[in-house]
Amino acid sequence: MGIEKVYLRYTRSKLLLILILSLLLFFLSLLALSVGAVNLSPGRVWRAFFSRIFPLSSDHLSEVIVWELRLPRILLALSAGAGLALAGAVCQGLLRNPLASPYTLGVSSAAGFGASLGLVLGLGVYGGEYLVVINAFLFALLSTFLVWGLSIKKGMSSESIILAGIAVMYLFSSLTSILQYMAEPRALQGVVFWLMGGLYHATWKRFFPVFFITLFCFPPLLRYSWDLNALAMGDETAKGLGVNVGRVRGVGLVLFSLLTAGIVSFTGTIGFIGLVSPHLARMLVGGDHRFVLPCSCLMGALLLLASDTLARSLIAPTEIPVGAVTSLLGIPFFLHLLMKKRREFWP
Amino acid sequence: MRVVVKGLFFRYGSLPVLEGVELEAEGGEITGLVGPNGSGKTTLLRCVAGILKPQRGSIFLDGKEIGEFTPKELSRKIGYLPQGPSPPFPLTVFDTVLLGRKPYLGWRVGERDLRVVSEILKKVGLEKLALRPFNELSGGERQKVLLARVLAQEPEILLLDEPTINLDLRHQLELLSLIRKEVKRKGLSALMALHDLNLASTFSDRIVLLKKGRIFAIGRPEEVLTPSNLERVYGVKVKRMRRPWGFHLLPLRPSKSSLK
Repeated sequence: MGIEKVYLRYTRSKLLLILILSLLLFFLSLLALSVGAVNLSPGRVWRAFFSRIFPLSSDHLSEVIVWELRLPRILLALSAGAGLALAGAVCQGLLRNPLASPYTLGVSSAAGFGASLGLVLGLGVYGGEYLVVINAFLFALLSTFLVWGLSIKKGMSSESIILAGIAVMYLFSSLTSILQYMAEPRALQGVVFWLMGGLYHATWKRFFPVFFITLFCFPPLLRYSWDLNALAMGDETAKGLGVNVGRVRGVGLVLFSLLTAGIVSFTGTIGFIGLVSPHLARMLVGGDHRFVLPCSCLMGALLLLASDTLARSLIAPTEIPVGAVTSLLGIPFFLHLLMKKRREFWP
Repeated sequence: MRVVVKGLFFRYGSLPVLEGVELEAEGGEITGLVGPNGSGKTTLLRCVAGILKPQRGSIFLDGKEIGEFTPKELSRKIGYLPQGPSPPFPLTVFDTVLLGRKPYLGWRVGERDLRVVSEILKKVGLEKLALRPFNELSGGERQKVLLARVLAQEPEILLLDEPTINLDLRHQLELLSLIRKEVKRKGLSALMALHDLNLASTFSDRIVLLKKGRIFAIGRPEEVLTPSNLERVYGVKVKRMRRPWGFHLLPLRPSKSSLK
C-alpha cells in the first residue's frame, strides 16, 4: 500500500511541475507581447490585443505591431521551440543516446544546404515564395532518411548512427561553404542569416505550418512513451516486453524527420534547443517519457521564447541572432546543472 | 508451462550457433544452461524468447508453436532477462519494474499494475529504493530490480541470461534463491544460463551442457557435471569433491590434451 501511494504522489508532483512550467510559459508570453523595439505601454498593447476580439477602439500602429509582428513571432517561437525539443527527446530515446539531436544527426545542416541552394543558385523543385523553405525541407528529410536507413541496418550501434549523423553534418556544411564561396554578396548575406536561424521573419503564414506539424506529431509520439521507456533498457528487453522495436523506431524517426524538417525549413538552423531541452526536462521529471515528452516541449518553448524576446529587445532596434542568445543563455545554465547533478546519466 | 525445443538450428549469417538442440522444460523446474563462451546459451534463450527466428526446428509452449503467439501474448507468458545495457536515462526503480507491466498496459497505469509492482518490490526487498534512479543502484540491487521487472510480467516461463554476472557472493545467493522460490511457488519453467558451475549445480533441477551449439549432456547436475564431461567440453581439469549437500567443483588447470 505504502509504495503505491508514494509513487502516485511522485507522479502527481511531476504533473504539478508541468503545470507550473505551463503557467510560467503563459506569463512569459504576456511579457514578450509587451516588450520590443517600439515602446508600447502595456495599456496600449492590451487595447490593441483585444481590439480584434472585442469591439474596442485602438490605434492602427499598435494593432499592427501586436497582431502582425509580435503575436505571430511569439507563437512561432513557442511552436518551433516545442517541436525542436520534442524532436530531440524522441531521437534521444529512440537511439538510446543522450547526444542525439536534430543538429548532431545532420538534419539542420542538410536543411541549411537546401536553403543555400535556393538562395544562391535559385535551384529547387518549386519556385516562388517557398523555394527556400521547400528546399530546406527536402534536404532535411533526405538526411534523416539517410540516418534512418543506417539505423535499421543490422549491427549499427547508436554511437555509429550519431557518428554517421555528424559525418552527414560535415558533408552538408562543406557543400554549403562552397556555395557561400561562389555566392554574390546579397545571396551570401541571405545564406548567413538563414544559417544563423531566427524568427525575425515570423508571419502568420510561417507560424501555421510549424504549429500544425508540431501538433500533428505530438500525440503519436506521446503514445510511444512506454515503448521509449522499454527501449531505454535495450532492444532485447523491449522486444521481450512485446515492443515492435523496428516499427517504433521507423515510425518514430519518420515523425522526427517531419518535425525537424518542417520547423527548421521555416526558422533556419536553431541548434541547441533540441539537444538541451530534453535533458533539462529529465533533470526535472526523471526519465519516464510520459512526462519527458511534454516537459521537453515546454522547456523548448520556454527557452526559445525567452531567447528570442531577449534577442529582439536587448539592444533594440538591432537584433541579436537568436541562436547566439539561446546558447549564451542556455549553456551556462546547462553546464551548471550538469556539474551540480553529478549523476552518470548525463555525459 | 511446458517448453519443448525440437531440432533447433540457428546461424548468424554463415556462422552456425545452434545445431540440432532438443530439450524439454517442465513447470516448477530450473534448467541450468552451462557451457563455454560461444556455446550457444544466449542464442538458445533468444530463440525461446521469440526474438530470434531459428532457420530450422521449432519451439512449443504447452504444445503450441511459438510462431502462433502474437508478440504481446508472448510477452505475457515469457519473462526474458537479457544481459542488457544500462539505460542512458534516469528511470526510477518503480518505473523500471512497472515496465514489466507493459504487456498489460494501455497508456494509463491501472491500480492492479501498481499493486503488482509494489508487492514484487517488497518481495525482493527494494521497497525503500522505489523512487531512486535505477542507475544509482549497486550492481546487485540493479539485478534484483531487473528480476522484479521480469516477475511483474507475471510470466509462466522465465528466461534468464547470466543473472548473477558481476554480483558479489551474497547478491548471487540472494538472487538465485529468489528465483528458485518463485519458480517453485508459481510453478514457472525457468531456463537459466550460468557460468558458475557450482551455483548452477546448487540451484538447477536439471543441467543442459552445451558445446559448440550442440547438447553435450543433459540430466541431473550430478550426472552431467562430471570431471570427464567438463574436461571434454571446457578443456579444463576439474576436481569434484563430495560435500554434505552434494558436491563441489574445483577447477584445477587447462588440460593439455584439449589443445588439439
